[in-house]
Amino acid sequence: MEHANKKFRFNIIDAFVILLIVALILGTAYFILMETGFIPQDQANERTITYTVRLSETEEQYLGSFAVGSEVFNSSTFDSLGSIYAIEHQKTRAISPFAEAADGTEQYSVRQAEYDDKYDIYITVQAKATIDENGIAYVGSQRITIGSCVYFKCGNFAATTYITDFSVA
Amino acid sequence: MATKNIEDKPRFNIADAIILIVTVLIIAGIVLRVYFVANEKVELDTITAEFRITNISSEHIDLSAQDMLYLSSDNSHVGYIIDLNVGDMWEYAYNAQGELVKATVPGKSLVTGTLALKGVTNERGFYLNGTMLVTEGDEISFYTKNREVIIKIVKITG
Repeated sequence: MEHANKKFRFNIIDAFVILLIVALILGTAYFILMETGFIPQDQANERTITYTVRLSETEEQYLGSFAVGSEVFNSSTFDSLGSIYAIEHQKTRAISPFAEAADGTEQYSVRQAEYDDKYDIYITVQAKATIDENGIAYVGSQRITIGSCVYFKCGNFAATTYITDFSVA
Repeated sequence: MATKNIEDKPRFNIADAIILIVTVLIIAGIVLRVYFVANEKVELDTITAEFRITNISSEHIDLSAQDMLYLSSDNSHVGYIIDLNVGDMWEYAYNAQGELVKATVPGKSLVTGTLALKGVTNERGFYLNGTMLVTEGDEISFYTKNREVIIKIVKITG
């Protein structure tokens, strides 16, 4: 009667496979921790930034949708964009297809008129920003430059807005 | 009766060798690919182009000569503003007599000037940053340190 004792031995291939699996697990864990922000980013160049976004041609009923102190989010990624510092609004001015001349001149300028029920709302937001090597400010992944588009969300209100001003402390 | 204990001693055989070699080759391939992509340098020329920005708010132009330009689509540095002029924004509108006249737009400006752009020129044209074909009339979104704008390339001058 023969008993075949197959004694398991750890060989180089097993070591290789285990190393590969460990590397994969560590790499995936690191990636997930970075994406979720568990591993904090470099905070050495973090500054306070104040920027203003304009919500154009907003209906009057939405004027009460914002309050100083409310938190603002990116409606596309739900990342925080800061908290509201100040709110102003004015009636939206429309450009008409008609021109008027200044008195006694032939210099024409396009006539403008105000909407009765539409407003341009200027919301000033304060946030923590990082400054990259080119001197450009970012709040999370949102670039802060005049003219940049911001997908703005506050409470149940969301709109496409554009930055009209900013200052870095 | 003799009991025979057969111990199978694992041996490094040709199958193990093949697995090892293939795995090393795959890892080496990935490393080399990443290394070459990261260090790839294409020789870029610099050309000049006339540009126009319309309907920009007069209060927030925030553009200056020597401002560095970055492509909004991929954040690459593609050149700088050589010079710029700010003037009135004009549109056609009807006067009281119903005639079409040129009229300024209050609160809006027209910015014109010259850009220096980096890229590659070949028989097909100019490729901005070596990747994006740019022709006269194209409108491209750029940003500087302070401003993001859509710039129309009016003429590529050389």
